[in-house]
Amino acid sequence: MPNDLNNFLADNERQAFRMAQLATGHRDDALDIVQNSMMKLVQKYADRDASDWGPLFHRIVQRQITDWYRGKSLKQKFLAVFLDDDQSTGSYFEEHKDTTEQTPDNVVKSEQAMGVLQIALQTLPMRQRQAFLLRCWQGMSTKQTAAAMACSDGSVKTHYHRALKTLKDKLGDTWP
Amino acid sequence: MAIKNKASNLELNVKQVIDNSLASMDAETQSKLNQARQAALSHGVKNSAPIMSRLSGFIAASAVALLLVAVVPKLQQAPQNSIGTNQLEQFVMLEEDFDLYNDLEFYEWLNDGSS
Repeated sequence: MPNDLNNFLADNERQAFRMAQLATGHRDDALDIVQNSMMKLVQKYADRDASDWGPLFHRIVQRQITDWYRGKSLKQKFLAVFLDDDQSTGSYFEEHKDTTEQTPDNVVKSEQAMGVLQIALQTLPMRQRQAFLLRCWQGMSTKQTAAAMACSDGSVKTHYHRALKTLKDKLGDTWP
Repeated sequence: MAIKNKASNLELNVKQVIDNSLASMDAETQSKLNQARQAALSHGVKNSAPIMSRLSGFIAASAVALLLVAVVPKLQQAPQNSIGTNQLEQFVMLEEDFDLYNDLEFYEWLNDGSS
């Protein structure tokens, strides 16, 4: 079982990280979310059938993202009173700013497109962001997305529709 | 039809751009993910508890809470409008038991084989 679980996590860690990074906009927080999610999966669900790990891991990651968002909202309200928080957001542009000079043009364009997408996603409410990434990028069905987000099918459809409309308006016809 | 095609193109482009970003993920991030995985596997297995022991813990906690609801009001003579924080604290479940309770519906969904 440990090998199977190791293989499962190795196959899914990059996607989980990118999901968390796009959802939160913060690279280090995304790493924490992924580690916490892996820990929970191993601690609580290692004895489940391997076919359950995927849905379970998705659900755990989304819950961690939601918890992060709730904690951040509280923290922002508290710190706004005492501190001027000007820390970087850990955006995709900042993550890759030192590599563009040595990188092929097509990779640079792809990274720029990714940076623009991340900025656009950050304008969405958290639930819309989650629904959009799970449905559009991860290719999950409405039902699977609802299970991961612990909400109804109807809520997923509403979040997704609104997210898609907003992103169409923001990204326009020329992206990427 | 034109609007629907537009949305589909955006969806395809989003998927492609994010998938491309996975391929070009920097070495430092990949290394940290590897470390996170190793830490989760080594610490997680040590601290894992069988599901039935957690479920029994939840049942026991619920039983204690119900008992306290029945007994404590008779012992305490709190003012009418007091909150009774001791009673509230006794109702708080352990985080793991609460997560397990929330996951029961999810387990049913998994067992149904719904997708």
